[in-house]
Amino acid sequence: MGQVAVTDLNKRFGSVAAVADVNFTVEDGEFLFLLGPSGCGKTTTLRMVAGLEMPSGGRIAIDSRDVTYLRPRDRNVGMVFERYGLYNHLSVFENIAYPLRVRRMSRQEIRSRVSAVAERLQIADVLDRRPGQLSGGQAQRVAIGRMLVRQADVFLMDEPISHLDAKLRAAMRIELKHLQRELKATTIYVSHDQLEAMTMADRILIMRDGTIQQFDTPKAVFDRPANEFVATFIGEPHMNVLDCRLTTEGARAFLQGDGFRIEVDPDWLARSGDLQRSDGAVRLGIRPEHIGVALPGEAGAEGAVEATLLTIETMGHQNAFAGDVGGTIVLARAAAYETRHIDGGEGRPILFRFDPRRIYLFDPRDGRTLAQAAAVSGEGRAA
Amino acid sequence: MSMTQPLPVSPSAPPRERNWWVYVILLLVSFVALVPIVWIVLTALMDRAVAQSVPPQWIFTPTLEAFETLLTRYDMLLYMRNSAIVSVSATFFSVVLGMFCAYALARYEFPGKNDVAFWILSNRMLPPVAVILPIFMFFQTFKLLDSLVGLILLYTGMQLPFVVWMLKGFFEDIPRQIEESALVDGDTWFGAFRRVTLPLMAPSITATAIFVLILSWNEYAFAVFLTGAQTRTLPPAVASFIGGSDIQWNLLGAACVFITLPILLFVVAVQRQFVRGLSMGMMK
Ligand SMILES: Nc1ncnc2c1ncn2[C@@H]1O[C@H](COP(=O)(O)OP(=O)(O)OP(=O)(O)O)[C@@H](O)[C@H]1O
Ligand SMILES: [Mg+2]
Repeated sequence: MGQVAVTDLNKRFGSVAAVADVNFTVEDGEFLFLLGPSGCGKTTTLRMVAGLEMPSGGRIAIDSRDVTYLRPRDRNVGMVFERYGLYNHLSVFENIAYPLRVRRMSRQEIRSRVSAVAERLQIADVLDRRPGQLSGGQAQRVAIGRMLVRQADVFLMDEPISHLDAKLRAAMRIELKHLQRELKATTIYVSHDQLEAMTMADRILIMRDGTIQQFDTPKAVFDRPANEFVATFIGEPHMNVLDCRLTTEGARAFLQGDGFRIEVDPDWLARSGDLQRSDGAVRLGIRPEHIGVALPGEAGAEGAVEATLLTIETMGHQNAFAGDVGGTIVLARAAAYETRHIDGGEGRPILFRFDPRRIYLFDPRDGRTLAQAAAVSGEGRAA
Repeated sequence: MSMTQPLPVSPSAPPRERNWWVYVILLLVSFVALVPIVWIVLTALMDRAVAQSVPPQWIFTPTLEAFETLLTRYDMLLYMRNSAIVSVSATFFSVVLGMFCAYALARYEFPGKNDVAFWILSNRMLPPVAVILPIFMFFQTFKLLDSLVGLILLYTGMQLPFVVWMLKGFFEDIPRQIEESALVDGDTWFGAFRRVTLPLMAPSITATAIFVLILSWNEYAFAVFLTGAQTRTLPPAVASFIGGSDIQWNLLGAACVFITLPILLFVVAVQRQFVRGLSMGMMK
């Protein structure tokens, strides 16, 4: 097993910089996710680690061996592709045995290793079939089996389960995570599905336009996003972001937006050094689950933001409310039993109660996080 | 069963198709296509007198006289052997060479790639008659006239563009990822090509080879000019029976059977691979 160190990695395709100055280290046995929107350079990064694409610059080391420009076969990595990874003219057995045949292993050794892997992945009964006769889930297991059958230093997976149906995907998530833990295999997994990343990863590397946005644990990227992009990318439904200004009245501090004003803790603001240097214009971020919903005149409505109700989505245990706040659509999510009394009446006024301890402030120029939610940062940054 | 079965079609379905006219057309086309062939075979089985008679006789006693004459007096077997050697060798070399060219054109980006591809194709654009003289002189200089080797070289070069263009398309249809899989699994480039790409390409390569074999077997223009008595291939040999005013129809017919039969039997034998290979790129 191995540790992967990537330094100043770059890849250009003509004038497109697909990957720009990427640095990260995957520790031995760690489960790393490359997460980001389509076209952000995840696959390109992974292919460079695999040796299928040569970097335009930078260095890749596996267990401190410099492998930057080595051929794939000299790196000893295993890879699962999203599709087309299987050899259609060979049986499932031969597909899994392929890496062993290339290594000229004895017939006996091959048979015992392939059956052990097939056993573990529950595909022992389809070993004689051709890939064309498998279901999508089985085919992907075969591809995974081919990766497991030899002692690869690093496992690479490029969206291995994203084309399976939702139920199968959920099952495979658990299975893959279990497998990874059990084998303690250093794994780099590419995905654009944040649910996969949040549930399976040890650490997530979030990319956008070829650059790293944040590299941290799932909890940290959720609780302490480095910038507005990460904050809105992680979380479903995504974080609400509103333009506003910081104002003060005596000792009190407010966030003044278009059609709303929220009082915030001045001590909290004071703790953010970056905030002092900004000109007062900020972007307020708050997740839908941290917005309470009330009808006008209800108890506890003071200090709430007035909105016009657009839709209510009932999701069983929860209700999702979409409201118009000064021209921006704000989503709120609340437990169904608390908001049972609010139903129907699209277009009626409604109150959104922003939890001031769950607010993030972003720099409107570069999206940097200026102030963390107090409830989270209060827990300490050491986690 | 005695019970009357209900019709399997819904009562409100449109009326049954009536396509008898399809069969009429098929019969007509088959008739037009087959009559000349039947006539050639019949002629080949006539003796000299019957073959020359006007009006033609449909009823006669079949004889193998013409075939016998061809074998004993005209060295037909030598020509057939020459044809076989030349076309099989040319097919082998053009397919093997062309396969690698096609692979490179399909898989790699390099400057001038499209120009190279077009240049290869342009080699097939000149009609043979336009280049016969230069090639004749070329062959003379290099002492290739009247040799099977010369003909093999020429046919290989001639068929190469066809092979490259045909296989290029088929290679492009094979996902690159499958080769990359093999590379990551630890294989070399050539290993991946041999163990993964080639097996997937086998039907297409077979189809292309069959095409090339037929084209080489039937090539006439160059064969006439570049071969001599010992190296003659079948097409010019057969054509030589047409010369002069006194055409021996039964010999000509038998010669036509000679040239057609092997390739016909071959194509019937490999028909399934042929169709499978040609349609491979289309089904996905
Ligand atoms: N072979 C190539 N030639 C030219 N441009 C390429 C090539 N491969 C990738 N790119 C470009 O590089 C960028 C990153 O592509 P990449 O495939 O790494 O994205 P991704 O993050 O994997 O996206 P997705 O989630 O859609 O798979 C894209 O803009 C893409 O168009
Ligand atoms: Mg990708």
